[in-house]
Amino acid sequence: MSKTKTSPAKASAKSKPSFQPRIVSFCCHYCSYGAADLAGTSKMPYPVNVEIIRVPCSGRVDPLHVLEALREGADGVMVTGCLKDQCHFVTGNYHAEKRMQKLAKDLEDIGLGGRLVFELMSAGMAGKWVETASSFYEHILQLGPNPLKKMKPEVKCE
Amino acid sequence: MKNEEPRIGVFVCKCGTNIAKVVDVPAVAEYAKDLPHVAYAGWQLFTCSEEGQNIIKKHIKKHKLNRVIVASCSPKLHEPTFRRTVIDAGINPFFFEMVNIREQVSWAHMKQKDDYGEATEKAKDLIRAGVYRAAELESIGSTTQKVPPVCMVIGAGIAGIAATTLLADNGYEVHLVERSPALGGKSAQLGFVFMTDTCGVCVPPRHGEMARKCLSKRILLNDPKINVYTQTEVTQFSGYIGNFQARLHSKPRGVNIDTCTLCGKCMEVCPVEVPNEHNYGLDNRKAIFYPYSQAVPRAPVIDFDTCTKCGKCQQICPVNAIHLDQQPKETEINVGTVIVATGFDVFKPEGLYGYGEYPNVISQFMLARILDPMSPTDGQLRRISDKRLPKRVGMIQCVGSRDPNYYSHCSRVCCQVAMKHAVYIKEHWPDTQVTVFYKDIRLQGKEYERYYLDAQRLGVEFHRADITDVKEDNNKSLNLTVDHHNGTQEQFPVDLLVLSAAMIPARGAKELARTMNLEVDLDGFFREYHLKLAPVDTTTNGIFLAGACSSPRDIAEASFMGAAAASHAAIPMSKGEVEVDLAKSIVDESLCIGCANCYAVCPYSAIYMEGGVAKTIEVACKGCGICVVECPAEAIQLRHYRDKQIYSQIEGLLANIGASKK
Repeated sequence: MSKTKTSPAKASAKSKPSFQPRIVSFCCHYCSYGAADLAGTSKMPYPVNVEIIRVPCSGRVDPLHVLEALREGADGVMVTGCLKDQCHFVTGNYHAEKRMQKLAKDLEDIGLGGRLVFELMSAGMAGKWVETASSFYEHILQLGPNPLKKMKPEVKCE
Repeated sequence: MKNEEPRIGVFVCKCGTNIAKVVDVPAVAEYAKDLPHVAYAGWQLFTCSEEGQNIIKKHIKKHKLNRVIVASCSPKLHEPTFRRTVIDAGINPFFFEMVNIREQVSWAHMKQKDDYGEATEKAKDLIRAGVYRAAELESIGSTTQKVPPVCMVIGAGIAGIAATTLLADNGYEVHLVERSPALGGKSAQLGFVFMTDTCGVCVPPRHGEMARKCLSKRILLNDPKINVYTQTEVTQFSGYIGNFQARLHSKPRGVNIDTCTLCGKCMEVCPVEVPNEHNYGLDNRKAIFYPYSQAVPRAPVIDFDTCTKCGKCQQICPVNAIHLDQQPKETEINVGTVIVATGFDVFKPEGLYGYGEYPNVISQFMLARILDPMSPTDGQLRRISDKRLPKRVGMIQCVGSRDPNYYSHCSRVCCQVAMKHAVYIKEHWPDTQVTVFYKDIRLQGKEYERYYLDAQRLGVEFHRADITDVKEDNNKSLNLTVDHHNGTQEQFPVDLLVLSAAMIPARGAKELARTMNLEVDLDGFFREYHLKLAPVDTTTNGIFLAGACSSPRDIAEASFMGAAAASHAAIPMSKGEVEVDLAKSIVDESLCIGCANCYAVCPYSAIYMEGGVAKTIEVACKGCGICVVECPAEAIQLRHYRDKQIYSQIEGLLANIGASKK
C-alpha cells in the first residue's frame, strides 16, 4: 500500500534513498494549483511524493492544518498562494504569509523547524512550482524524517 | 441527506492513454474498493464522455450512491461537467469531489519513467484523501441574484466598441469608459489597416451598417443606450455579478462638447507647444488640441498638465465653451456585468538597435503615423532627421517579442504590419529598397499570405538574421551588422530603420487587475478562465475580457472577441438573474463571541456585526475563507471547505504512513 512497501526491490535496484519524504502542499485554487496543473500540462516533472490539497485561497490555510499534516506524519508542508497584489481574494496571501511566518518560528521552537515552506506564484509560473517542490523535497531529504512519524500510532487521537 | 451514511462511488478515468499510460488505473480502482464508505469503484476510458457520465448515473442508482468521486483531470476543467452529472442523478453538486490524477500525476510524472509505480501510488493517495473528504461533505443550496441589463465596458478601442455597439443594439444599457480623450483606441493611430487597407479610424464596427461604421459619425455618442465617459478611469471596484459598483474618475476636458463649434481659434492662440503623443512626437500640438483629426467626441481637449491657464483661449472662444476652472468629476455606477477591453501598449525598445539614440530608428507604429494620410508628412515616406525620402528602409522583427530578456510571447501582428508597410512603400516609392530582418515569418490570418506574396513580387528582401550592432554614420544613416543564420556576417547600410516592437500589456493594466481582482499571466496580460473553452470569461463571474488585453490580437480578432464578450455578458442580463451557490462563509451564532475579527479581514465587506454577533452576506461572500482562520471561537466556517473537511482530507492523504510501519 505504501510507497516504500510496494517498491523495495525497485528502490534497491536503483539505489534510491530509503527515506522518501512525504510532502503535503496546500495550493490555492486560482494560482498555485493552476501552476501545478500547468507543470503537469507542460510535462515538467517534480518529486512524486509532493501531494496537493486544494483550498480556495492560501488565506484559508489554518496553521492548525499544517500542524495536523505534520502530526499525521508529513515530513514537510508547503503552503503556496498567489503573487503579492495578485491574490484572487485580494488579501488572502498577505494573511497567509503573516500566519505562516509566525508558524515557522513556532515550529522551530518545538523541533520541527524547516518543515514548512511558504511560496507565492501565479497560475502561469509552472517553473516556480517545479522548482519550489523540487528544492523543498531536497531540503527535507537532508533534514530527515519527521520525528513525529515514529509516534504516529500513539499520537493519533479521535 | 443529513446524517445519511455516506455511500461513495469512485470513478477512475483512463483519459484514453493520458492517465493510463503512467498510472495503473484498474489497480487504483481496485484499491479504492476497500476504502471506507466506498460502495462502488470502477474505471472508464473517458469519464467525461456522454457514455462515461451515463455510467456514473447508472451506478448512482444501482448502488444507491450519495457521494461521487471522479479521479481524472483537473477540477479546473471538468468539475462543472460532473457536478451537472450528479445533479441529473438527483445528488447535490457539493457531494461531488474531483481528484486530479492527470495534470498532477500522470502528466507531471510522465517523464519519470522509473517512478510509474510511484505515480500509481500517488494516485491512490490522492483518491484516498478524496474519499476521506467526501465522507464529510455536505449538501449546499443556492440562491438567485438579479442581474440588471446594464454593462460597463472599459476601453473604447476596437474590442470595446464592438462589444458596446452589439450590447446597445440588443437593448442593453452600456457605460463605455475610456481613459484617453477620444474613442478608437490604437487602431486610430494606424492609418490604413489590413486586411482591407481601410482607414483605422473607421473600422470599429457597428453591427450591419456600413455607413455608420465610421467613428466620426458620432454614433456612439448619440445612442441613447450608450453612456460614454472619456478621460475616465475606474478607481474603485467592488461587488459581484448583478451588483458591481464602480467609481469613475473623469479628468476635466475644459471644453463644453455641446456648445463648441469647432472653429479652432483656441488652438491658434494657445502659446504652449508640446510633443504630440498621437503622432509619437513626430510633430507638436498645443495645450488645447484635437486628439487626432477625426477624433470623437468632436471637440478640442485641454491638457491641464501642460496648460499655463493664460486664458487666451477662453477670451477668444466665441461661444464661451472653454472652462479653465473645470474640476475632475467622480461618478458612481452600478452595473450587472463588466467587459474589460483595455487593449495594449507598444513596447518602447529603449537602448535596442539605437532606438531613442538615433533619430532615424523608429517603431512600426511611428511608421504607420508617417504613412497615414493625416500625418505630419501628409502621408509621404520621410526620414525623421532631414525629412528626405529614404532610399533604403530596414525592418527588424521580434523586437522585445520572443525574447527571454523582455517578453516571451509572439506579438502575432508584427509580421503582418511589416508586410503591409513594406508593400505600401514599394507600391508608392518603387525605388526605395525595403529589407526585412526576421527570426521567423509568421502570417496566419485570413488574407495575410497575399501580403507576403505581394511583398515578394514587389522585390522586398527578406533576410533570416540577427542584427548584432547598429551604428549611425555622418548622413544620419545607419550601418547594421547582420549575422545571417547561415553563418555569414555583413555590414548593411539603411537610411531608415523600423523596429517591429512588441505588443505589451497596457499601461495601468496591473493596477486595474488589482482594483478588479483580475488574474494576469507571466507577460502581464489578463488571464482568461480557459484558453480554449472560456476565452472571454474570467475567474470572476460577470466579468469578461475582449481584445488585446488578454493577448496580442489583430483588429479582426479584437472585433470578434468584442462580439463574443458581448454575447457572454448578455446571457445573465437577458435571463435577468443568475444562480449563486452558497458555498460561502456561515456563522454559528451560538459560538460567536462578537470579536469582529472576521469583519476586519473580509476583503469584500461581506460580514457585518449585528446584535453582538457576526453575520455574512452570502451573495457578496466569495468563499475565500480568510475569516475562518481568523476566528478564535471556531464560530465561522466556510461551507465546502470546513475545518473538518480539510482535516479529513489530510488524514486520508497520509493514512498509509502509520500503516506502513505495521
